[in-house]
This record gives sequence, structure tokens and C-alpha cells, in this order.
Amino acid sequence: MKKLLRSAGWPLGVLLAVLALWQGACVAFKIPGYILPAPPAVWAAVIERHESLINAFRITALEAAGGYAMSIMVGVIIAFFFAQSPVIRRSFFPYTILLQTVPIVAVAPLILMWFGSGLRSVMLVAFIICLFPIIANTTQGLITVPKNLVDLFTMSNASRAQVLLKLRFPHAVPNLFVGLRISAGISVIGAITGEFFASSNAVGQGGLGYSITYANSQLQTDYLFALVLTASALGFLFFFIVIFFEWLFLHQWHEAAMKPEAE
Amino acid sequence: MSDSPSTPPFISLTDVTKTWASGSTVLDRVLLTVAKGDFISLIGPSGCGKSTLLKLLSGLSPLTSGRITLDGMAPDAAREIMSFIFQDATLLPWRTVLGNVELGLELERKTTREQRRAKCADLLKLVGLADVASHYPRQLSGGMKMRVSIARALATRPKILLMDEPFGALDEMTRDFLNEEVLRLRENDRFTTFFVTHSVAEAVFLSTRIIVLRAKPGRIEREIPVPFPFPRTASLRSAPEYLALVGEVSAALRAVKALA
Ligand SMILES: Nc1ncnc2c1ncn2[C@@H]1O[C@H](COP(=O)(O)OP(=O)(O)OP(=O)(O)O)[C@@H](O)[C@H]1O
Ligand SMILES: [Mg+2]
Repeated sequence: MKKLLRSAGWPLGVLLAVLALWQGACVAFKIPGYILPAPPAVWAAVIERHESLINAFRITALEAAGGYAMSIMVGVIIAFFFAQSPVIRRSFFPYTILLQTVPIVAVAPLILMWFGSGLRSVMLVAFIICLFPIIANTTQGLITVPKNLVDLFTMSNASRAQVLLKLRFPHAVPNLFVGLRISAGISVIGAITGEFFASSNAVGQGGLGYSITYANSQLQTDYLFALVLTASALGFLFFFIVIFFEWLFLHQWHEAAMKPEAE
Repeated sequence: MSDSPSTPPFISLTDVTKTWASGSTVLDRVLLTVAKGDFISLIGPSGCGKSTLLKLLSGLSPLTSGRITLDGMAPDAAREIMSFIFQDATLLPWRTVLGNVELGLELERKTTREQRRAKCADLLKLVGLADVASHYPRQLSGGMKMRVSIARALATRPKILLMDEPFGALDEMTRDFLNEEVLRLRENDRFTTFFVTHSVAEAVFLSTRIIVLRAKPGRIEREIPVPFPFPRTASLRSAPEYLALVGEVSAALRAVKALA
């Protein structure tokens, strides 16, 4: 715990330095608040609008988590399918790369048009953006099992299902977590992007994405900053939840998951 | 060797040939019979096909031509009565020591969980690993990992044990210790063993027969019987007849290497 505090010291120092610079610039150049609000103004907005921030946080968290959870389930199943044969991988993998390369801002309006602008459509946008890292990393883990371990299972006349569930999947768990870390952050981006295109009345009071467009159009730049701050907090929260589970599942046996030694 | 001509040998290899897709022949018409309880060491220059021979025996790799029967079965079918011990211990890092030892029985699905637990806990006691049963492989030394690997192989009570340089990566003291352990376990179970090694001393200490292979193409060059009675103990290592035989086998190995 002490170590954690000490390692948190450096990034905190950086944060303080950035805040000081920011404040200094605002004062020195007399930047108007609607272009760049000073840190105290942002903080004031956080306090003043905390109710709507929490509300937006809740909505976006739900959308992001929903899409994320779906992407884990579907992604792992697709990876299982890909692990079955190189022919399957060669045939289908190029199409999963599409998930990564097609810009989500172009797809989001289509999805909202097809499925209506609701919670589910926003989840779907988050789902799509999260899917690729899960598929790619899990597949990688499933197919890189050392040959000797496969031979060991063959010697026991293991069934295909046994090889998949008792060998390939556990071997792929560390890789799965690499995908989960990546997707944790981008699920929030996906949800916010989805909300940009969803109309407010359909998504309750509006999540962070909707509120950001609103604040922007009203030139409430301090509120906008408060929203961005909240969105980052959400991303961090997801990320740390994943890190916790990664530690929980891997620390006992996986070398890389153990705490790195002090330098 | 004690088989009368009327009973078929426990294990027989007839004109066993293996040619890779590239066209190179690694094993050429290998002929060998093995009696039940034999401990066969395979030695020979690197690349002569020792590992390949074990892969053929285990059915992990198909023959190009020839025939192998193990207790009357083809290699694929004989997996039921066979265990393979690889050079690296090949433990599953996400399983505890006990979990690793249980693997074979678990995959067979012939026993209940409780039966497996009890059986494997006993086996761990036998190999002196009871107090690390709940450890993970990364917490073990190389020698301990190999003992877990041996315990795992023996858990299914195999009649045939294939070992590919199991102690190659260990220091000499650990290796000697594990050699004695293997002999001790063999007294209990009487498995028939194929043992690949580069250590002549180890081969002489463990075997009933030593097969010297030559390379390019891989063939049996010599068979050297090891007459020392069992149970053997560490004191055998300083016996003059043991040292003489080590000398003889080393000379045979040098001669084979000179051929290549
Ligand atoms: N899967 C394979 N495909 C093609 N050639 C192979 C394959 N496996 C092994 N070989 C070749 O077959 C030959 C024999 O290999 P093998 O591993 O059986 O030798 P070895 O006697 O076990 O050697 P070492 O003592 O170094 O372990 C080598 O020349 C090797 O390059
Ligand atoms: Mg080899």
C-alpha cells in the first residue's frame, strides 16, 4: 500500500504542475472563460452541476458496460470459433479487422438510424468498438499454446472440448485481459460517440456524450470541462476494475501479473 | 528377452521407417523387441531420431512404413496404457501441483473428483511433494517441476512410460537424485520404459538395455545389455563393473558419432 502511494506521488506531481501552468496561462493571457475556463471555474462547475454529472455518468456507464459485457461474451465465442482451424481464421479474420478500421463515427449514425436512438443502439456502438481487441487477443492466446502441452492432452486422448476448455482457454486468459484493458477505455469512447448521434429524449436525460454536445452548443465551457473530467473518471474506473480482476485471476500463477520488483 | 518364441513380445518395432515431407529419412527400418518391464535407454548423436522414435511409439506422429505394436495394440490405441514425459516439465502454470498431477485422470473421466484427489495426494506423498501440493509451478525449482511431471505421468498407472531427456536441463546432483527416484518408482509399478538421454552414466544406471543409434539415416547400431540386478542403489555408481560399462558405452557412442 505504501508502495502504491509512493508510485502515485509522481503522477500527482505532474497533475499539480499542469494545473498550475493552466491557471497561470489563464491569468497571464486573460483568456476568456468560454474559451478556456481556469481550474477553479471547472471545479465550481463540478460542484454546482454534480447532480446532472452523476446522472450523465450513470447513463453512459450503463451503456458502456452493456456494450463491453456483450463484446466479451461475443468476442470470446468468436475467438473459440477462430481457434478451431487456420482455414477458419484465414477466411474470417480479415473481416474482423473491418471492425477496427471502419471509423465508428461513420457507423454510429447508421446504427442509430437502423435501430432507433435508444440505450440499446448506444450499447451497440460501444459493443462494436470493443469487439476487435477481445477477438484478436483471445484468439492469439488460444492458438499459441506450446506444442508439447497439446501433445500432452493428445496422449490422454482428450476431446476437442477438453483441449479448448482445459488447455486453450486458460492459456488465453492473460491475453484476454490484454484485450479487456484496451476495450475498457474505448467502451466509454464508444458510448459517448453513440450519444453524439442519439437525440436526448430517447436516452433519458442524456449521458455524457449528449451533455457534451449540449454544453458545447451553449458555450458552457466550464461545464464541458467538467463533463470531460467525468468521462475520464469513468474510463479510469473501468480500467481499474479490469486491473483488479486481472490481479484476482492471474497473480497466483502468471509471471507477468505479479508485482514488478522495485527498481 | 525372457519371452518364449511362442508369446508375442510386449513391444515390437518392425522395419519402422519415418520420412519427413521434405523427403529426408530420419529413421530407416528400425527393428526392436522389448519385453515387459524392460528399461530401454536410447542414446545417439543429436538429430539421429531419438525424439522422433518416441513420437512414433506414442502415435503423436504417424509411421511412414513398418509396424509398431504395444501390448498388442497400435500406438494410437495404446495411449490408454502409455504416458509421455517431456524434456521441459510441461506443467500447466494455472494449476496447482495437485491439479497438474490430476490432469491425466481428469481427462480420462473414469474416476470421481474425490477418488482423483485422494489418489494424487498419495502419489505426491510418494514423490515427496506433499507439502507443495497447493503451490503453483512458478514457485517450484526445475527438479521439483520434473518430479511433478513424473507424478502426473504415473497417476494413470501406465504400463509404458516414454521419457524424452527428462533430466537434461537439471544439475548433476538433482539428476542423480531423480534417477534413484525413478528406479524406486519402477520397483512399485514395473512400467516398461523408453528413455532418451545424452548421459551415458544415467543410461547405464537406469537401463536393462541400451540402444545406440546412428544418424543419417537413424538406425540401431548396437544393443548393449546392462546386467546389474535390481534394486540398484547409489553405491552402484562407484562399482568398477559399472564404470567399465560406462566406458564401453561411451566408446560405442563415440564410434557412432564418428560415422556421421
Ligand atoms: N516435424 C519435423 N519435420 C521435419 N523434420 C523434422 C521434424 N522433427 C524433427 N525433424 C528432423 O528429424 C531429425 C531427427 O530429429 P529428432 O528430434 O528425432 O532428433 P533427436 O535424436 O531427438 O536429437 P536431439 O538429441 O538433438 O534431441 C532432425 O534432423 C530434425 O531436424
Ligand atoms: Mg530429441
